[in-house]
Amino acid sequence: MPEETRNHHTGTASIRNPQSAIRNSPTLLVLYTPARSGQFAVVACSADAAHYGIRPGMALAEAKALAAGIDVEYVLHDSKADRQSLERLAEMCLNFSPWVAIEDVDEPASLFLDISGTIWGFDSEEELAQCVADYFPRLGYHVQIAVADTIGAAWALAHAEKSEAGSRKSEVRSETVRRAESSRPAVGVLRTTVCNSSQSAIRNPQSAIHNLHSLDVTALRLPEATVRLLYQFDIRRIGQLLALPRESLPSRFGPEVQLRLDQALGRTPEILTPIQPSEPVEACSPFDPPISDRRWIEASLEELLSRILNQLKPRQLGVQRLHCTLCQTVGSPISIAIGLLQPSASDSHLRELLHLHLERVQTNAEISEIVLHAEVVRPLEFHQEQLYRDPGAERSRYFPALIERLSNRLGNVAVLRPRLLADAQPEHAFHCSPWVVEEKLDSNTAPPVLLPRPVCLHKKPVAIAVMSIVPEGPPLRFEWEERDHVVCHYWGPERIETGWWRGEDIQRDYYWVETTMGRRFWIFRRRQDETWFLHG
Amino acid sequence: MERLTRRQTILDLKERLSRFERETQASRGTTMPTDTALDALLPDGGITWGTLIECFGDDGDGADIFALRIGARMLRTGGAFVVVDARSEFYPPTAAGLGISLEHTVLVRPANSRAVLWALEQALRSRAASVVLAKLGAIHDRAYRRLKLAAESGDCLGLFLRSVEYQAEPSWADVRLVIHPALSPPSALGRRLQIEVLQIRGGPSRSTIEVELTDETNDVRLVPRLARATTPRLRVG
Repeated sequence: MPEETRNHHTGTASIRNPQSAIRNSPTLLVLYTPARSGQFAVVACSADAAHYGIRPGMALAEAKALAAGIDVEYVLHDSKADRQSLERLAEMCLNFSPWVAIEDVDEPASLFLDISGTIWGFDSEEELAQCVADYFPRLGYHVQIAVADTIGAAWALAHAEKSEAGSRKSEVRSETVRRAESSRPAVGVLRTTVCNSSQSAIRNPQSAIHNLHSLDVTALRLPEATVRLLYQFDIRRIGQLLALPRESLPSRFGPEVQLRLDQALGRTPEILTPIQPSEPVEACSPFDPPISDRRWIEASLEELLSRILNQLKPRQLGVQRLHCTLCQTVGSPISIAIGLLQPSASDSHLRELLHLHLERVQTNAEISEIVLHAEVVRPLEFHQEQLYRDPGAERSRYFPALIERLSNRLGNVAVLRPRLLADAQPEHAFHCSPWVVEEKLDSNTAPPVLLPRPVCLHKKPVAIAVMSIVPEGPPLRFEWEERDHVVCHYWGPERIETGWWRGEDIQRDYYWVETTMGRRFWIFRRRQDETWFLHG
Repeated sequence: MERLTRRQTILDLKERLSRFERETQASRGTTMPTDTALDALLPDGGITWGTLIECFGDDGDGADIFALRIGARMLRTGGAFVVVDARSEFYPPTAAGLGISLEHTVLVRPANSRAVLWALEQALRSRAASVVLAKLGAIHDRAYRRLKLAAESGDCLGLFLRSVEYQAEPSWADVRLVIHPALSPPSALGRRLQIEVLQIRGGPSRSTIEVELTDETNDVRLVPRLARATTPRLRVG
């Protein structure tokens, strides 16, 4: 193949679960995911956690037993967040190549950069690869990089660590990377907070294709079952596969072996779709001289908003998060963040939300510039008109507008969505999260048992003085709000013993009591010290 | 022309007012029966969308659970349930236990009383919420009028829990009820409450009923009255 027509690809293996919260955590990390029969299984773990024997694939309970008494953070694996992080990394890689693609699998962990014709600013491909290798540790990632003529070969070389079993001693690989990969043999590189630029690995690009012969068959991106089948026949190296009669491969091991081999060797083209970098949707308006009249500010904002919506409407996109910056002549700029429950391209609605914020903004100086930036844009949702009036459906149509209006005026934390949790302690039997901020909850918890509970629960149980004749017996009378209440009926006790893992051992006997006046209260006795509290 | 007495004039005016109110309600929106004992008190046999109901009672009196059960009945047609809970005391599992879907429940926790009124007005006016529940303290007459218009505009039921100390204040609520706790006999299936009607627009005023809140069916039903004893009177002498 002539040099000028060759397509070089840099395969970059990124970390498993590249969410920023996980990357920057200093503690030992274990990622887990729901497995069969309601159990959880470890997906990945940090190198330090692997020292305790924790391995991907093992049951979470087993991992917890191995790391008993050690401060380990267990995080639910979020493949969606992984994908989003990888997409962000892909966009960052546009610094090195205008053609960047993400691996086409369900849970991708690799990026492909087409570096054909992009090495003009570098002495060689190695220098470009080294530049990429130096770039990722600054973001907190360890990567493995390979330069090859085909996508398949680049992937194989970048993932070759496990297949070579240490045979390629000449390559640049740090000890940290080795340790990390031992916890995730396929592509995992963890412990990002201690990284430095020397901890990335680069494959030698010159000897890419002929090096494939010595690689393990797992480097061909084959399904696990196929790899097991090949191992049964003691075919462990790609070279062994290549030595077999080509026409016999599909009938013996399935069509994928032949396809992957051909893709790695460049006999069959492989197509990947490059990412489309998202253009920033923003509009700004500088003022000379600066303005201070609120009406002018509002008019400018409306004009900027129209400009943004005019960009989005032809693409059938709507704004989901809008950020407005008012630059003052003196002092720091004023930032306004507007969050929406679902994307909107409604001029009037977005204008109303902006006004709700502006009502509360106090400007200390004149405004020199206004910048409006659509941070998150998403495709608009369209609904078909109903032929017959459905009151329920009609109300749901107005629901997002209500949430957005309330959240943008009162703050996200003041407009909450309650969810039930399967926790015996009444205070922990539900969780509230902001409506406009997506929060992933563990959906594998068992449905809670709904028992008679008061409508209002005191945030903190109120201590009361209770008279009870027998020890650990029911209450007879109690004093609350400077009044004496005589108990006429009681129901209980409902014994709750829980919460020891939260550091607070809860041991309560709850009673529903009805006073002689007919009033009902929910009170409990703390069993540790026999003190009584009114809870609702 | 026959000269009407003062009492007859007042009764006549009351009757005409009641008729006007009923006509206004009929033109305003649809009425939905709650299938509870409250229906017997309401002029149209159910709650008209856009109605404000005040339930007066203190902690432990049962006003909150009574209001929540009425709200749960009205939420059967769909729509959001908005709880304006400035004191962060509302307990969602209880609502879930009454069959209210938390998927459509919005807890609003405003920081001050001004924000409470703003949130209430927005929720009532939104057309997204079917029922809005809130604890309401002292409220200015004009602000209350705004809430009433918002509820009518949004076809929403407003349920306001108020302390008994506010029952003498002027109000724009259509239904004003004082909830008195009643002792439940051991044979009772649930909790008993006495509902004193302060005012029902277009309906009877100053009447009292006794209801039972059954836990098994989440029902609010009238307590059956026992017939008088039929022991024959003994004549002496």
